[in-house]
Amino acid sequence: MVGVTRQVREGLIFWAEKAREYVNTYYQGDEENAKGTNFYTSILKTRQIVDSLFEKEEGLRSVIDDQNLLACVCIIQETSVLIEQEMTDCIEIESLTNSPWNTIEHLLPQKRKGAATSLIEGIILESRTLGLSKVFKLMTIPGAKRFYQRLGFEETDGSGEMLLNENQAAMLLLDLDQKRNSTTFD
Amino acid sequence: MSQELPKVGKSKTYEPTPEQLERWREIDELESGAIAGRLPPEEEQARIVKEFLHTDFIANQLEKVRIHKEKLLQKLKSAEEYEQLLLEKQQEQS
Repeated sequence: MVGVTRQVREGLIFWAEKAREYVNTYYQGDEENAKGTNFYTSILKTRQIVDSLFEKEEGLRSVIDDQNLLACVCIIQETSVLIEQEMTDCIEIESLTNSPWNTIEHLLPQKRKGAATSLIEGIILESRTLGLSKVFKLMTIPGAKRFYQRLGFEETDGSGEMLLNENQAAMLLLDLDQKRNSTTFD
Repeated sequence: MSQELPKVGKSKTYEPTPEQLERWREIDELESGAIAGRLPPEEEQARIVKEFLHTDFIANQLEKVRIHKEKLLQKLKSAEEYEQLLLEKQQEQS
């Protein structure tokens, strides 16, 4: 989903309610007990995304899942990156996080897999359709590096910056298409 | 005498390689930690999370959206004034 809609705004309000509820239920009402978890980092990212929306509304991309719930959001922007000593246009995934129920370790009925992957796939497809850059950049956190590597992103300089070039993006789209058409993953 | 009709719809026919299966399994497993973007220093993180969880989200957002709206109204006013000035200049020229 492109841009900020009422459904996205309601979804983010729901995320805030759920984050508070989970801290009370699973972390004895003290967010300090959640430190170091994906859930804690997702709360932080959610707050950053919500606050930056006033200035970056048009950069918001999101995924609504089969329950009609906001499952994953990110903010993208057009920027450039140095590749082989040349500044190249790219799409930067500036901030990305899954919903609180998708990041918390506890098994919850709303939990769904694949939202972040779908979101990245959507960004690649949108970029192709609009004739924008075919290179994608993000800054990963240590715990997420492996996930992005498995999607095809490569680390650049050890700072956490990762790139997905045109070929790798095409390979990812093909791979996801094959997964959908696979007899194994229904 | 009945004849079996061909099945309608797209059939799933792709046979993944073991490497793909392993990659898909790992991606699914790692999805929950798929977070991207710069993080502030740890102390700042604690402050942001605390504020997010311990303040009324709706009231906080309402306050922020009103400040944002005021800024936009100021910008709109400035754009309208400029538009008016340009229209006046255009009339002077003609």
